[in-house]
Amino acid sequence: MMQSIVWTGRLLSRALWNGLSNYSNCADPNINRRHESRIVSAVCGFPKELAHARLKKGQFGDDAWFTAKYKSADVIGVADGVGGWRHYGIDPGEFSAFLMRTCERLVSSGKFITTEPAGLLARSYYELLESKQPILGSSTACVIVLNRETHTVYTANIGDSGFVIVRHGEVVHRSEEQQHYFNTPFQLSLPPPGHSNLVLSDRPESADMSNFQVEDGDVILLATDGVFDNVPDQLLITELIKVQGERDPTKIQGVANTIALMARSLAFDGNFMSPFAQNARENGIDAIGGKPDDITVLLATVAI
Amino acid sequence: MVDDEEVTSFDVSNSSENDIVFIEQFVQDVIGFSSQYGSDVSISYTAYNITGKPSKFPDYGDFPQAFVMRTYGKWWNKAPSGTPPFMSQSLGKITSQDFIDLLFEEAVYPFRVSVYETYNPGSVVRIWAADVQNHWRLLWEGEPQLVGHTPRVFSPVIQTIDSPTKLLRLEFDQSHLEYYTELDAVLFVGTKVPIVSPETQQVPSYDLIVPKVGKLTSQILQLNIHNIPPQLDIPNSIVNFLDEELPQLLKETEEAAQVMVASNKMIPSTGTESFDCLPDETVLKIFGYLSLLSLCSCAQVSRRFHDLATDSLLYTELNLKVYWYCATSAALRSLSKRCQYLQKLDLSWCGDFVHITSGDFVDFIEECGSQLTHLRLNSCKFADNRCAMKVSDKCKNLQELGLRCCHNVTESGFQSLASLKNLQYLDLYRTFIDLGPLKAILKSSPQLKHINMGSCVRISSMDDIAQTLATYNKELVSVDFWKTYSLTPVGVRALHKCGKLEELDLGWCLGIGAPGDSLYSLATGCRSLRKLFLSALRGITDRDLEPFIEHCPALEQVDLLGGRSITSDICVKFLTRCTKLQLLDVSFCDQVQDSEVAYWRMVFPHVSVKRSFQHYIKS
Repeated sequence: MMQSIVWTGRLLSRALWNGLSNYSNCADPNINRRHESRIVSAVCGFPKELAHARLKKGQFGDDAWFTAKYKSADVIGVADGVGGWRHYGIDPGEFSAFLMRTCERLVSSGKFITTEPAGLLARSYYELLESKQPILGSSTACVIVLNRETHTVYTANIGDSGFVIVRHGEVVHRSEEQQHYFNTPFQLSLPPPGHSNLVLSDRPESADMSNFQVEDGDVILLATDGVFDNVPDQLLITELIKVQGERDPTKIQGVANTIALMARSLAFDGNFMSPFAQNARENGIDAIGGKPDDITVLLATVAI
Repeated sequence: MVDDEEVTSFDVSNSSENDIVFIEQFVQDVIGFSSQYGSDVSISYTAYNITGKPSKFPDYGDFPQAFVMRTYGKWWNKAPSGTPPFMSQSLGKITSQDFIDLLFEEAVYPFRVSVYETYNPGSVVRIWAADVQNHWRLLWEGEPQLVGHTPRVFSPVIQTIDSPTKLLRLEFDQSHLEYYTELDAVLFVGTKVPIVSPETQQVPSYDLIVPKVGKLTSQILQLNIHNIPPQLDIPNSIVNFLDEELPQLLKETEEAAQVMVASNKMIPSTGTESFDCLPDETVLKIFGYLSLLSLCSCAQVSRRFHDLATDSLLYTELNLKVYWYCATSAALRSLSKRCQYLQKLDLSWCGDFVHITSGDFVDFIEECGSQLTHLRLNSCKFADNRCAMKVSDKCKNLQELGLRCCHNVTESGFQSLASLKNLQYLDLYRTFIDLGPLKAILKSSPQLKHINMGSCVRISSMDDIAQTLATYNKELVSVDFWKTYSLTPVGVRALHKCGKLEELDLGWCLGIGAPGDSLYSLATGCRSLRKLFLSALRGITDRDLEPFIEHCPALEQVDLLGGRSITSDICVKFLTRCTKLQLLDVSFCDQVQDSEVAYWRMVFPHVSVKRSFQHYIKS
């Protein structure tokens, strides 16, 4: 059984790579040559339910992502729609996708401040209110801005998505997880009218912010909890070392694919002591195995 | 998102001697517009969305990524706050309600303007270009169209002008449209060198250009930059001749014939006697039906005509908005001699490029402003504090004042308006008025009937304003709070004291949240309500709307857009029990089914039931 899922995953992943490589910003070498992008990125991911997954640009199940640039800033971001809304007849992916799409629009039109990624998230969140179509739900989100002139990344994180920055095999900087309690991350929400009291909702201003000086060759992994809950740090780092200083988008794409596939396999491995299961044990819950979830991997290297 | 440069050039010449390089550009920036659906603090439904490459085309429908204007159809004119135009005989056959000014990166000789329309197309009526001397030149003019629900690239054949341009203005007429129109992008195609041959000053015939455009289009298609339906973009010279040039030619011959007839009549031997024998009063009466331009022409005919056509009695109303493209300080000065009895003045859209300065306006008001009762300065860049102070000082009888989009009026200018005691109509849409000056104006205007504060982002507490209105402005008939976020149920409740209120726009007042009993108070207090806009008030439920059905039998227009909890039950109640209802907008009300809307349209044909939609073509 396990085997077959992994195999399906592999087969599908091949199909997805081909599709996805078109989506990723730097898969087309022509684009790179023309713009001398300073952040070389690739994307890979899997929806939890492969059977009835939507294949939309920028979405894996309820996860969503974007990459965009404006002048001397490269911006990448992921968001994870909170699945519980499905019980209310609300598509959780719509919220996260709208959030990321709007971030992309805001960045592309220069309506953001490089040093304030939290402001970008906040603006994108408030834009949800400006849509005629009422979009309800909630989502975690993590956005990274690289300022190419100052070689600084500015980050904002709400909830349990996150990033690690790896330099020569060492984690030099990482996001802090924001949880209310176990398995309940901070989240941006728009509850249905009248339900505001029953729904956890954190203000976009409550995002965890940081800035960090990057160096040439640094590897940035931005991913949703589907990755961090299933792949132990050591495994991640082993993979990330491989693209240290790498500028070839194809190689970066390869590692992004490996990490996504690894997360996917471990998520469905019932006997694996995943980081999620360990966490659960620390919280007094007897658990083992991976945590099946949507998976989004955004991998980037800094080229200065 | 791949950020291509906005400018793409194509060398479409083959080895022939005349090399023509076509440059294609999308909009770089929006530098002015008369209205937008969205708010200035947002990027949804705003004018800025027209910049760059098309983001939705060929998707068709109501999307936040497009440029949407504030109104459609005749609903706003029919409402109690509707304002009829002044000097209506000056309105041409083609009128417009809105405009947008588009800046492009590189100045080129215009060859083609393509407008990407993604919802309810057909509103573009004029395309202008600003030449190197900053004068507006008409590139195209045509009647608004009704083309049904289809995305399209509107690409009319335009006049060639002898000047490069990087600034275009589009004028829109949406009065015939079913619902809001949405525009995605504008593609501007032009050449670095004039296509007009310098020797003959003639445009090469279309036969010569067509093959080249064909190539250009095919290159565009190959590069997959965008899809222009070929039948729309390649001008078929015969069809074009029949559609555009022949009527124009006929019109011109007719006009020429008329001029000849008229000029024949002016020769004494062939009978000017007919006009000469008419008394001055009769001629004046006839002149009263003429447009401003015709009057100016008449004034050049003879001394008698001059004296009559410049008679101050003909100039009690003056509408320069229709002539915005040629209204200059010189024109204003020469008119000022005739405007001793001027009561109604519309200078909206006039005087960009400093063709009229605030000094010119102040001089004009000094000379002709004392009788003024109505003044519209919408989208006037020259309107500043000095102008506002002069108006406050000189026009003591002023009843109507329109300052839409006047961004150069600030605190001291608005403060001075508080000395006007007779204001009945005040339009402050998208101005930077603050709480203090607005309160002062409201307190000093006991006769105020209409006020528009839509998208006024600087007002810190709309509740305070609503309470002031309720206390000091008992005559209030209409109030527009569109997209003001500081209004809460407290302010809404206060409005119930305005017993004469007929029109209330609370659209996108997101601060209202859950309205509590404020809408109930409103309905019981304001029983003459005719128009009620509650767009995007997500928190309202059927229970909040019941009182309006109960107490407001005069309701004609109701907008419930985006009300997530609103059910079809309450809509049916509106349809059956509000017998005067003409408009019901249930767009994006998720509980209401499309099939129900279709049924209502059949059973209640006298009501226009609006239902927006989004139709994706892109995968």
